[in-house]
Amino acid sequence: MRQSAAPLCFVFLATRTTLGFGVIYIVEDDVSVRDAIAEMLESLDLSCAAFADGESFLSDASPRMDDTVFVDLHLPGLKGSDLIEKVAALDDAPQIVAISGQPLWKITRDLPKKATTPVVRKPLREQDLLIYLQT
Amino acid sequence: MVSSSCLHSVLDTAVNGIIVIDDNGTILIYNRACEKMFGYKSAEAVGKSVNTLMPSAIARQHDKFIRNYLKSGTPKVVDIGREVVGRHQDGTEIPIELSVGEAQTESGHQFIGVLKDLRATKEYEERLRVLQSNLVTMTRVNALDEMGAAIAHEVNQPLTALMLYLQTAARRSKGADQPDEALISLMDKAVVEAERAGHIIQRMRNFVERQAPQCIGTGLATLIDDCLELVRVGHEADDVEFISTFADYNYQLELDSVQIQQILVNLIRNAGEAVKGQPVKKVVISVETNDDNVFVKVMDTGPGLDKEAVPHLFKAFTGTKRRGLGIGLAISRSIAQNHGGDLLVEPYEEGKGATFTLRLPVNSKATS
Repeated sequence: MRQSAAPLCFVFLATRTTLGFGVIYIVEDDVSVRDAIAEMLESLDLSCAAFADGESFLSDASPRMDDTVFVDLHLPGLKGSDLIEKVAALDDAPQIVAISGQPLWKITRDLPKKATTPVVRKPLREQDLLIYLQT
Repeated sequence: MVSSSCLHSVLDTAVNGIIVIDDNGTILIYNRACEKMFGYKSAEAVGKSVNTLMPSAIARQHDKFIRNYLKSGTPKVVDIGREVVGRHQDGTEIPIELSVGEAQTESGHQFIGVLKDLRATKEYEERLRVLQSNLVTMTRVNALDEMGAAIAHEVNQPLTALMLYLQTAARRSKGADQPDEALISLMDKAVVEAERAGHIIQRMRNFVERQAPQCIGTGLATLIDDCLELVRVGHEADDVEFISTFADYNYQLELDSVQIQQILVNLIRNAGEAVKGQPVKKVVISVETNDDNVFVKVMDTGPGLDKEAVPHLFKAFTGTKRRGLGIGLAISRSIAQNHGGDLLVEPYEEGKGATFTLRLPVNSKATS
């Protein structure tokens, strides 16, 4: 099980150039969910990088247009919604998909009004995430 | 001796309306409080019949009331008082608390009425009632919302991880050089079960978020069998007999199967608890239908329900069980009502156990 983000970053840096797909980033504080998503993507030979919080993602990752970032709305420290705004404001911004296990009123409260970010609600199945990775 | 002007001043100072009539019902005295209550000025009212101040249905009978009393001497309102309805000049009906006294005077028999305007009280009571019922609803919804959200969120995380691990494992075992068919079958079953758990959470969340039930055609007999299967798991050692007498496996009903299953499992499980320690331990599920409704009955051979307990059965947080919040039946009834049905308990019969009836409407699309 991956406890830290660093080894995963390494994985994607090593594989990035060998695959035609963009990189899939996961920002999720729950260690099991983070690991399960990473395992699932790796089993499909997709390159991915997982982060436990928004701060480490912003400092270590450099997402591009072909990439996808799955962001849990309920993050410690930098809020998921703030992270989404920051990433969406990047030049060459990647596709962003929010994930949440929260009740609807919290999601609508937290998600910036103007954002058109799709939200996948937990519990989820792999197809709920993979639908955003079709090229 | 009190002077006439002093008497008038007393009348006009009184907070309550005061009216004096003669035995023909003609108004002799009509104080200031009455002017406010009925809209008529004293000068307009005095000399008129007191019937003017009543809705027509009562006004028509009032003369008779007076005659009857004078003849029989049996008071209906004199010295008793009652709540009556008056009529304002503009036609509005006014709830009034009326007390009536009488006096024999030189000029004949007179009646004295003291009137208290109940409008403010009534409005207050009504508002209080609405507030209280809102509060009950709010408390229930909030408790559900918070609890549901807490459970959903706590269970969501491991469930999400579980689902993804299982799907990944299933894919890996399918892609192996020598696929183990038995293992693959087990993995697929595990995925289905994880999905079912996910559905329950989603339904619970939907319930809280007040979304309409997701109705699809469902075989009622199979649904009942599934419920029994679920309940039997916990009762293997208790030798409780769970029986369904409904065997029409072609009977389809438009309903949200997860929600209805929740109700039935709840009812059957309660019934299973109730028969513990009884000489006959039996829970029977039967189905009756008519043109408009399907009635699913859950009968047990338990001691039956206490008469005192029945009115509180469906209220949240009033359960008598040590475990749980006592919201099971309250939720179940709400779900049934969301489906346009209801959840009822049959009246107690000596020597019989309890029977709960789940009524569900037969939709036009439902077929038999």
